[in-house]
Amino acid sequence: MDRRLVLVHLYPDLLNLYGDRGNVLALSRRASWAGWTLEVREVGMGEAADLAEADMLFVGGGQDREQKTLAQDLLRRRDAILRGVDRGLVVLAVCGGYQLMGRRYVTPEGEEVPGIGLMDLETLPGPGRLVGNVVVAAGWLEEPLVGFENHGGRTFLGPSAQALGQVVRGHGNNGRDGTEGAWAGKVYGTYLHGALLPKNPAFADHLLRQAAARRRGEVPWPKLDDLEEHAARAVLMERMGLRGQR
Amino acid sequence: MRERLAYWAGRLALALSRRLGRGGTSLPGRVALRVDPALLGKLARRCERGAVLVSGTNGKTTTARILAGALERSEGAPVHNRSGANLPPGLVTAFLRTPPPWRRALLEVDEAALPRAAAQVPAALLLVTNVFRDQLDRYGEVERTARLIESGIRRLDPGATVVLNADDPRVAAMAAAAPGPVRFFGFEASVAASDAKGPLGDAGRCPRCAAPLTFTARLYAHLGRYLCPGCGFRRPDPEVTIQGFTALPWGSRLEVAWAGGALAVELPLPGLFNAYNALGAAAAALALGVDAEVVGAALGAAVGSFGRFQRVDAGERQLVVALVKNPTGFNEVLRTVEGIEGEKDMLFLLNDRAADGTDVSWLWDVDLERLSRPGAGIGAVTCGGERAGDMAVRLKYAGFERPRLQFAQGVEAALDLALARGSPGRPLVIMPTYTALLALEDVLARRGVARSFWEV
Ligand SMILES: [Zn+2]
Repeated sequence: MDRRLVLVHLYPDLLNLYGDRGNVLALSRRASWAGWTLEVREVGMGEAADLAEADMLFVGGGQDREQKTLAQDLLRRRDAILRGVDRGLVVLAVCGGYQLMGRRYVTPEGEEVPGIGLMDLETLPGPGRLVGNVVVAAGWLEEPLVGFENHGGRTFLGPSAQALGQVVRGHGNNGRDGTEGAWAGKVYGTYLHGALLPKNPAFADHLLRQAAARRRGEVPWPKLDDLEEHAARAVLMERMGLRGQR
Repeated sequence: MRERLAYWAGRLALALSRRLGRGGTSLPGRVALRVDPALLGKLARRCERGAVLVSGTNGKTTTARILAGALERSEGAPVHNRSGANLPPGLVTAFLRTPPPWRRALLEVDEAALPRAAAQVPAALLLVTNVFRDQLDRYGEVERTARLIESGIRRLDPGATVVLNADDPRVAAMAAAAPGPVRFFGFEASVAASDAKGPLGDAGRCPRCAAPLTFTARLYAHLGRYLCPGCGFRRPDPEVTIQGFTALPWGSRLEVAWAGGALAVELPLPGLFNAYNALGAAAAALALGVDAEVVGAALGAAVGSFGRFQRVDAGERQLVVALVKNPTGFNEVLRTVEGIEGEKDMLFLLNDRAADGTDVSWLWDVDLERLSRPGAGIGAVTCGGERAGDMAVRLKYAGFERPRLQFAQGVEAALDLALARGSPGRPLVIMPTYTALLALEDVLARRGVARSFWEV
């Protein structure tokens, strides 16, 4: 029986930023611990990607000034990504990648960069950067999301977008409305890194389970031993005055 | 008058902090600067031969120490902030600790403090080691750091020599900012560069036109021989070079050559990064007119600073302490650790204070996977520090599992765990981040294992 999943990792070369590798590593290790094989296909700028065969797509975070080059390449892939999403492609976009999933991104210089419009959101410049550890209550997960944020852009959700969760500590999308990230169907976007998935095993498994369901329908997903992950989370929670919560 | 008052206030603070048993690498300088904010320049002008500045992101402390050895042998010991306290209070403290008269000042200067230091201090020479991205470099931090150094270079006297690493494109491009003579150093020897792979990111772009650079050779990280297909910018021919490099278990054999001279030496510090440190120090010393023989002696007697690869005997256990502060440095340390013969145990100490980097995701850019490969010779692996859990998660995903992988919260508890787990015959390699290193040093000093690092 086929227990193979394919993940396309977009721009591993360009967005060689903290934790992106960790997210992909977490998905691939956790898949194998659960008895699945995750095949990772790295796709750089301008390179062809066969999204029809992919179960998961990961787009990481870049530097602010790489956003424009990135947006051009993403726009060329827009139709392929939309078709994939229609067929159940699970998408995770972090930081810069998340911003470009929206309708538009306005640079600090006021220049407008079009996003691919996968989610109803837009990102505007703001004063200073939003930096620090974050805890996000996500009711659809058994545990809050924890991570680190570092972004200058402020993201605002439109009426048809839904937040990934509510900020408990930190800034989130824009530091004002208490939301963090967004999701639409199986497309997820967030500012959290640190790395995100190794420290949020429930979220990682949630993504993998959805990808597996695309292949084989609802499948049982084993509960893994997450002792180290929980120790890392506990320190952060305690420091944020959230002792005892997991 | 104000200068004298400030100087003596600082001396008093130094005497007091010594009485209290503290090393005081910055506090006395802070007191003195409060009395006279312009004190650094005034003190430096009292040096008979001016000052030598060392800046760059990695290797400043070791480079400055090797250079200090050369100066000491040729003209007497310079005023030197050897503990690596490289902000203005630390620089002033170096003067307070050294009784005058002063022949020369050798100052390791933080990149952010360089523009002001270069404007105040009459420097005869400035050496720039490299510009690596630091833990926090997500948003053009490398470029910001490079510009700070450049603005320091612009403020130098026209007579000052600038010594630059030719193999680092961003550093080589700083030559354009120099008001006076420039000297380059670089590697000519070809080295099997196992770490010179992976994405270059910003560092792989032309500093002049931002086109991707073509590398004909890479030594490690983004250091190597490069050429810009866009504008023709290329690695300058270095005047002082390493023609031969042979790795030894605890150091390397180097053949250094320059127009009119050459020397062969065994450098007692391991790894390619230390060979670069030695090369930079040699280039600066030669530019200052130090004899080749003296330069060779200084390289041969090089001592790392505490935590920059230091062996410590703790009873029956041999400890090797190596500071890790960014992905490039961490990878170099791992590569060097692999060169230590036989099995070794590992202790990783991760803190996340400002000096360590508050965002611990940089760990995921470190090639820790190499340690879990068969034949890597790694025994027990322990994690500690304030973010012990994060370190353990990283190693878990790098292929380690319990019981071989263990963790304990904090520095001391993790040290005890690591000491209890390993076998006496095996060295324990300890890799702390900066503030974890300070805590470790404290624990070891308390246990009478290591001298305090301001005494080294
Ligand atoms: Zn160019």
